[in-house]
Amino acid sequence: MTTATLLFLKNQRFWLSGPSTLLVSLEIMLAMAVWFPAGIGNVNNIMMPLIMFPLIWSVLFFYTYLTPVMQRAWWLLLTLVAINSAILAYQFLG
Amino acid sequence: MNHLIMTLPFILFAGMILLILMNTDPRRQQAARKFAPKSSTRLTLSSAIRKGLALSLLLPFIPLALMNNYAGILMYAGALTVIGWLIAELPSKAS
Amino acid sequence: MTDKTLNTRSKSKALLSLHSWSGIVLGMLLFAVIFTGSVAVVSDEIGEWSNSNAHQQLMLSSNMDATIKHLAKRTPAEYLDEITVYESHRQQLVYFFHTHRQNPSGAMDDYGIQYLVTPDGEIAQQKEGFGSDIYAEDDANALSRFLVAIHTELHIPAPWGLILTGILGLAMLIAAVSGFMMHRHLFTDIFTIRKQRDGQALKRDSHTVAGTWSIPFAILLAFTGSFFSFATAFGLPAMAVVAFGGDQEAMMHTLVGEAENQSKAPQESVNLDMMIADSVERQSSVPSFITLSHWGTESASLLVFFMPDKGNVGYEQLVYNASNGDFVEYKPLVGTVPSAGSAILSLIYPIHFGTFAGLFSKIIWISLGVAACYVTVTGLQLYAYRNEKHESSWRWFSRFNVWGFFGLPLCSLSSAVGFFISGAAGANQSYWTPMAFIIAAALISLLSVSIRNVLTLKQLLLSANGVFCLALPIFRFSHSDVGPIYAIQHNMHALMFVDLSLIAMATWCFYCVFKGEKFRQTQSTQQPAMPVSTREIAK
Repeated sequence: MTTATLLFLKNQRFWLSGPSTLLVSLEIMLAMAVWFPAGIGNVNNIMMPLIMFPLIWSVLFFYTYLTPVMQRAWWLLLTLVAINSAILAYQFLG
Repeated sequence: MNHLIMTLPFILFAGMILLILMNTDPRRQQAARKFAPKSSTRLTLSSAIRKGLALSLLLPFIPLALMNNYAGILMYAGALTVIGWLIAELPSKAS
Repeated sequence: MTDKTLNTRSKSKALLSLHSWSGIVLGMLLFAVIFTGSVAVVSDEIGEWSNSNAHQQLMLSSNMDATIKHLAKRTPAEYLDEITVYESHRQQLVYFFHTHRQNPSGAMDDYGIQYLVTPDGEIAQQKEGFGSDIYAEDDANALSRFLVAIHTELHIPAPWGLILTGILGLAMLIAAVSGFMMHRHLFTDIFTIRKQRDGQALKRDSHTVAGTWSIPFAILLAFTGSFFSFATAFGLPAMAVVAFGGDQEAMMHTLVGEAENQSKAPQESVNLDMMIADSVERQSSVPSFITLSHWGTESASLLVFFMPDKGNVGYEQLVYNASNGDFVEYKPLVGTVPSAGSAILSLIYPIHFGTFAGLFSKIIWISLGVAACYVTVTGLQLYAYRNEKHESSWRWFSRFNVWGFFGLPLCSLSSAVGFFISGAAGANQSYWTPMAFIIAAALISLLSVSIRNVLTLKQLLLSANGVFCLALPIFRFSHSDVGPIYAIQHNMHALMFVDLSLIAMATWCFYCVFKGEKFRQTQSTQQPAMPVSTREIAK
């Protein structure tokens, strides 16, 4: 493999839209299981996050990929991580 | 089987509308003319009529929904996709 | 130039590179998943066809109540927890008496004894083990199971195969959405496929037109597919950790909609066949399978599962109280009461599988799959075409395309040949079906690197596809003696459908070979003029 093919690893956009977005969407999905109303069927809090995961991911992906201001996208992801980590921490520790 | 037979006329309707739209498509005619400039007798429709015809493709959803034929709705949407693509793949008459 | 136009230009450039890279990097795997997905739509029909069988509706004609009583006596009590019954592709009823245990890979699984019972009530075979293992060794399903597993996990060990197909689903989503966003004349170009000077369709137009038409379904299929992959691979276990403190069994109880700690006090259950007859009357169709829970106890219940009918798209599950025979409810797919999650899930299944209205809907869904395959194929060909104008005579990318696009169908056909030959020889079909695929793949790969001219390679693989398509109905016939006349007389729709599709595909392959030869002849006569004109158009 040539160095040219590995150049994308130096690209900030790759890390932002690739791994970061995927991890943040996963965390949102997990945290959603905590706050999403279970409904009378008691299953919505499990099913809806699973169903919405590809949607959440694609919205975040296209935003982070297309935004001209990468800084803003990083902040958005960080905020989402902070909020959802707090929810998960509350669930497991609180 | 009944709900399947009820869906067929709508699919045939969509096929016909799509055929008309394809045959009167200005971009398609323009592309075909490059190869056979002489054939000038062509069907033309105003763009308003073409828009109306295109919108009429959405009409079958109403009766299908009224009949609670949800399978029909999905099949109609799928058939619309496939027929549209296949019709676009048909060679232009001029070429 | 204003900032705004600069911005849109860089945006469309970014979208184009996203579209191309998602396509180029994952395109071939995506083709594999879409192609086998289109085949998987008719997996049930392929199961019937590969065994030259038609469903006998044995659940209605057999005395299942007596069989279950008889089998229950010879089965350890712990396996009476749950009993599933369905009709196999070899005119037998499959009774699986089981309980739930964690299998060696850590997942919850069924464990128990499976009996294959002939229509006159004789036990033809009996096997003890985990449900997933017994299913994986079932020769009757060997071919359809193998083809479906390529689609769902590309035969890569769990959970990585599922994660990969999930990522492929997301890549398809990216490709479809970015294709939609960057095409500015989406609706005006919807019917226009321009021609090159040599009369061949312009590849870019073929790609965009097929892509435009299939965008809505491409998005839906990619979205639902990645949901299935991710939910099974890690979504459900992760949800169990968050919402149930890691207790997967408790979560399954909630999702299946079953109360825990039910009464196990012995009580005679009512006649099973009567409840099934009642459900058949309510649905006016034949159940796909039934599940008996806690048979012979106070809390005994029966679930009868029906495929969608009468214009509905969701599965129907009828629940009976087996201690008194009363019909209890139409049970939602997940949970005990209707919910948004269950309603969406019951839409996701038909949209992804296309199995909601018999062969009629399946044919439409296969066509959608073919359209999506065509988009992938033309997309990758377009890339090869644009990037290999001044290349070496080997044309590696085109070669890779030919290897994948014509090789995968040929390997799949070979696996069917392996299934029939091993069946006729009395060998293990579950082993030889994938083996035939691997042997074919190795041979095709060898051919792909040894034949110098790509067009010759393509023609060769295409004719081999045609020959195999024609040979398969003959193999099937010689294996079973079920010919077309017998099939028509006995209404064997699935069998006739697959046989006819294979013949149609063979015809198409031979037509393409013929067209390819004609193209090659014209090309060789016009050789000096061609490169300039095609390059011009490609620009």
